[in-house]
Parts: sequence; structure tokens; C-alpha cells
Amino acid sequence: MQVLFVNNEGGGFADYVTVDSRCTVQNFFDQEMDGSPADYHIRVNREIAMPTQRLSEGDKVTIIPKKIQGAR
Amino acid sequence: MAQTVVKKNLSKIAREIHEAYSDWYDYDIEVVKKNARKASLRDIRIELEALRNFFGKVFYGPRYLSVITDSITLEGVQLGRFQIEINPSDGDLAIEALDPNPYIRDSECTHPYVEGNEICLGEGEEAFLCAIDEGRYFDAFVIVNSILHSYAKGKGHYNLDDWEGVTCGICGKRELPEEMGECDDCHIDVCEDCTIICDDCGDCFCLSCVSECQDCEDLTCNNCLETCKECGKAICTGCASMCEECGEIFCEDHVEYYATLQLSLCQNCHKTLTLKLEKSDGKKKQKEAKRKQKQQKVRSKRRDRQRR
Repeated sequence: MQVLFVNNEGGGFADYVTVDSRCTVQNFFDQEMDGSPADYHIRVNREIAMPTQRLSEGDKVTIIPKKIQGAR
Repeated sequence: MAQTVVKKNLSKIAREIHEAYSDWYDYDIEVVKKNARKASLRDIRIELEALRNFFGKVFYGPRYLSVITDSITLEGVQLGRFQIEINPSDGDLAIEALDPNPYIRDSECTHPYVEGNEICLGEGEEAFLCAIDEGRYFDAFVIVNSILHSYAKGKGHYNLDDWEGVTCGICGKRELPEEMGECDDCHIDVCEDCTIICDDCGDCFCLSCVSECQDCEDLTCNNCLETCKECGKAICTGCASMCEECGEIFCEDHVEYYATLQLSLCQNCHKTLTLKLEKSDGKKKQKEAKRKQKQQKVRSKRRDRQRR
């Protein structure tokens, strides 16, 4: 199935990603990101998601790092 | 007047925000270019709920949505809380330091990435703009919050190393470390205004480690300060004189140069020396008188012999 992935670490543009039909938020994170989920705010369909939450076709997953470098 | 977003007014505020956002979305060419998905009224409601859950309180003014961060401390420097404001009708972002602890030399710079009311979003800029375009206000606020909680040396307006500067141990003024001195006696940091260079030894001291000469009123370090043996006055080495007889230090009032003796003497030594001299003069006179008496006796004896 396909879910929409908004990666705020990479410019915030949305892209469709193919995942397993039994994919959880944790599985999705492991597949798409490096590091620990604790370092990110993860939302599914604009709501805060738990790692065990199952994804559904067409879900929108948003990931925001807890640390982002600013500039001068 | 800003109002706090609560369950009761959430729907009404969500509607107002959605209206402002929709006007902007519908007429903004940039948004269309990016093919951003337009947020529905329900989406905006969810965003407001998520913001309330994350930040505790969300405020809505006539033209802006705002949240307050927790108190931010980076590299041991307390920067305080920041208010993040986003205008849903144009996506404008403003930052306000609520407990400002600005860079020592720039009162407008309240965070390495904040100057005045503007934040440089750096790596988060594109993600922020996308979030605003799609009405993902939670993402937008959290991106700014994440930037405010981050710091990398050399990336911001100023480094945090010398953010607060060094505090002068005397007046409490903050200065850059390179503009601070150190007291050679007590070793505290002192600003230029509170530093005294001792005229005698040339070292630098703080105001606590120098005293006023009671004669000339110049400030002298406590190490170079002398005490008059006679009156106890604290005097600098310039005002101190040594008695050439006893070697003790005296103020100018208690040492005099005696031309007849060709010596600088304290009052005691002068008295003692004068008495000695007077005594030795008296003995000389007595001896002379005795010698004269003897001579006279010898002469008279000679005369008597000649007569006989």
C-alpha cells in the first residue's frame, strides 16, 4: 500500500512511499529514517502517532526532527 | 486582544483561521506552484488540538496564532521563553523573547538564530514554508521550536561561548572576555573602569586591592603601601622617606634633612644624634681646659726655677 510521507528533515515536501500492508509507525520509521524515533515528532494524519499504530492506505505520515539547525 | 484557545472557542477560532488561511492559499501563486494540499476546516481543528497538547496553551489574536516555548537553556546559557507567532493570512512568522537575555553586545539578538523579531530558519526553512502552505500549523510551530532548541557554534549570529561575557567582580558590568583584566592580587575579573595600575610596581589591581595614600591621595596597591613609623599614616613609596640613621620608614612630616649633619633623620634619631654630639663637644672642651691648665702649671713651674 502507499502512504504520503512528509519528511520535515528534507525540505518538507510530500512523497508517496510504498509500505507493507501490516506496517506500523515504528516499521515505517525504521524503513525511512536513521536514528531513534525519540528524536522526532511523528504524526499520522495530523495526529500524534504511537510507534505501534498501524498505517492504512493513503495515510499521511509527518516526521519533524526535535533539533533543526538555524542560521544567521 | 489575544484569546486563549480552549475547547469552547476552538471551533470558532478554527473557522476564523481557516478563512484567513483559505484566502491566502487561494490567491498565493507560490502555494499553487508547490502543489500544496489545502487544509480543511477539520484539519485546522486537529492542528489547534495538537498545538494545545504540545505547548499547553495556544493564543489567537486578531491576525495571529501564537504559542510560548518552555524556558530554553543552550550550552549553559539561559535564553528564556520565546513567543512564536504565525499569521495565518500570509504565513508571516515573528519571534519574541519573553525573558530576554541578549548577546552582550547586541540587545536585539536574543538567541543565536534570532535578531529582533526574526528567526533565521536555516535547514528548517523549506519544511516550515511547506507546513504553512498546507496549514500544518503544528509542524510549523514545532519546526521553529526545534530550531530554538538547537545550536551549532559558528552557525548563528553570535556564539554562545561569550554570550553573557565576563562579569566584573567589582561593579558587576558584563564585558567580552578579551576586554576584561585580572587583579594581580585577588585574581578576580575586573573591567577597565575598575582596574588601577599601581604607580609603584606597575601591576594591575582591582579597586578592592588598592588604597589611597594619605599624603598625595594617589591609589597604590596594598603591597606597595608603607606605614609611617611615627604617626601610622598609610603612604605610597613616593611619599615615604627613610631615616638614614635607624632605617625606618616615615611620612614626609616626620623626616627632615639636616644640612649641618648632611642626613635625613627622624625626630628621635635627630635628638639622639644631637645629644651625642653635644656630649662629645663638652668632653673636648673639658680636655682642652685641662690641657691648658697643665700647660699653665708647667710654665709657672719653669718661671719659678728660673727666678731661683
